[in-house]
Amino acid sequence: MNDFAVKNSHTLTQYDIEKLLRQFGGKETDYVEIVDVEKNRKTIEKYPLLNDIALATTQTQSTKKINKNAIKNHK
Amino acid sequence: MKRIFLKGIKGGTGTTSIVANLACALRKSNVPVYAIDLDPKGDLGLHLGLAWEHQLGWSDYPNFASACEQFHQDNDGVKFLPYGSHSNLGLDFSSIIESCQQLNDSDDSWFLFDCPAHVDVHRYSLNEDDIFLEIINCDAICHSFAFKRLNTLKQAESSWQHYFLTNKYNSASELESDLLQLWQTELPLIAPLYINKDEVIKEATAFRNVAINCAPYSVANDDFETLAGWLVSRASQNDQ
Repeated sequence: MNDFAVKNSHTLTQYDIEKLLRQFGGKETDYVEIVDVEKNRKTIEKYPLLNDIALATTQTQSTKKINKNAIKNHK
Repeated sequence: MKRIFLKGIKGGTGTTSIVANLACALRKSNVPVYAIDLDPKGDLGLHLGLAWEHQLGWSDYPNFASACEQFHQDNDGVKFLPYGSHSNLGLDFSSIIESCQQLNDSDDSWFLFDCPAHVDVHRYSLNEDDIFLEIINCDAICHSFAFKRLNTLKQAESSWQHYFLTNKYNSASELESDLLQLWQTELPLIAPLYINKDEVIKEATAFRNVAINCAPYSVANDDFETLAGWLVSRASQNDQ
């Protein structure tokens, strides 16, 4: 059920932007990037080729992290 | 001197159309603009009003000084050098790129190189002031190529500015819409603008012209002006 009492707008007011900046912005960052992570995840899952590439790139990154940790531990 | 290299990540991405339209958009600022065709299958000259019968270009000459005979100027004032019919093996694309520095008549001049899709970015001698645009279309193959490219760029420790530019975007397609949204938020090096698919681009070529002259109020024209403005900001970042 829609909650019509809640303002449902895609256009952010200056107040919204300042609130987001206070919440998520860095000390020297004057913008906030809003990413629909859930939508991206669904897109990747929807198309098998995209899924394969996402898995391969994630695995490469995690392998690199593991390797870095291994080097640190070795030292 | 500002050097922009444009290359399709695969064949048929519409790189030559972008080069021709971008050259004319930049030329509106009354700065010298040179467009050099490095692609034997590009036919950049046809976009800029060169006669169909014209066969000669830089690849038909033994050296740059003689190849300069083949510079043409379109109605907007863009100076362009066609590829030609490859009847002389004296010049290769690297020496043409290097030799173009001799034409550098102003700090504000722009050199646009239409690069063939099959020649890898690492074969170009690029410096930190250069901007390399790799043209992609909203499809799964370009998605795959873009991630492969990111891997090679990481290994090469590239010093130039490298971007992926989306061309022929069709907002009515669900797949393209999905991919563009994904790229804009998750693909590193994606340019923050894209070129919409617009019949005007094809029609303009049929009229041996560019969108700016054939349909100045078209979406395509807006897109190329936005691209030109963005490149000015990228290039001025180098000057700082």
